[in-house]
Amino acid sequence: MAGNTSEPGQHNGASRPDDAIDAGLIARLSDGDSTAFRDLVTRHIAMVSGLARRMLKDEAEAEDVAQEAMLRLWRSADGLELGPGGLKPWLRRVTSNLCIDRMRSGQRTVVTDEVPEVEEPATQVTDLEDQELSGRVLEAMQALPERQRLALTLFHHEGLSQVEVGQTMGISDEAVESLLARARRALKASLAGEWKALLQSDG
Amino acid sequence: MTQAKDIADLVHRLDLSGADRTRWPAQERLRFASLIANSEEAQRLVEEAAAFDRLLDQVPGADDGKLGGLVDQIVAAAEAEGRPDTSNVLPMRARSGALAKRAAARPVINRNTWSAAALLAASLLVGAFVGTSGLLGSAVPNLQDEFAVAEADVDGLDAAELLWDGDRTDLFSGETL
Repeated sequence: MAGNTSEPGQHNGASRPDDAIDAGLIARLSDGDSTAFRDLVTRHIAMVSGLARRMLKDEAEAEDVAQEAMLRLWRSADGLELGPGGLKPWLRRVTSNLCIDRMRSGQRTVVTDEVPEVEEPATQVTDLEDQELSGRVLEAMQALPERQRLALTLFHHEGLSQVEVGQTMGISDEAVESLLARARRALKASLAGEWKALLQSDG
Repeated sequence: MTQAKDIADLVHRLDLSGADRTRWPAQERLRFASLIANSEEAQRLVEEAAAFDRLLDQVPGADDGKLGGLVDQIVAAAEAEGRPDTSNVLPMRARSGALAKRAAARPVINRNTWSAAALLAASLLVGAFVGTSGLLGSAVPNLQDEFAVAEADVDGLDAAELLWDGDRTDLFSGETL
């Protein structure tokens, strides 16, 4: 279910070795070893960038947020105390908050050296169809209220449990349930055509 | 519990957690296991929810091909920013111990204490001067006049004015006005 860029928070039971690695890298960064920062960014950029990409309207804006989240780690590594879930919950919370701030402000930082991207031509019709479908689903996701979108992204794409979604968003389990149910119902309505077509293609 | 109720509850569970039953709470998995095994309608609902999950999977995440460039960009931005000045900042664990040591080493009397003492002494001198010079003698009779006027105003109030809000008289019960 979760996208290939995500690593479930505590579902695989393999988070402890990862936590130890992160803690070691943060300690090295605190001691002034800047190469540890590159290792930390490399380890977590897919999760941070993926979350931001699913929350925000365009890729450049998501990259801005991913960069800012990582720079906050750079700035605050000295006083950072990790909870039982390690660095990931902290990064998720920072990224989520940055995304919500962006959505509320309705603005994005202008990146002056941004180069317009050239879309790679689709080699097959199916690629094009997939891109169109992705675009429509992303559009429908982005039409959701921000809290519904965040809850669904954290649960479905990041693979967090309901409890972890609640911890990340600072809300109760009941509130998470409500957000998830409303998000999926709204998407089922807005993507009814695509959903039906997918069911028919399944035969 | 009727099957219709079970089906309605299953729809709710699918709306919450999708079709992947490994994501459901264990008791919910157990509760719906036989329903899904035996009811065609339940199976259809799960299949529809699974298709919807696949639709959600279409939402693009991070572009793996661009992540390397993004890492370089972030590291360059961090290096350009420089490490925060932490020469006066100790790691959290060391901080509390260091603060305690610093507090223990701090002298009991510092500059602020001396300033406060000087201010107190100056106000004592001013008070002694005013008291012995007789400046207060002319001010006290005026104050007495003002108190007399205030007492007369209170005497003139009717009890009904004090308890003007009948609904709130309980606020005054047991109190001496």
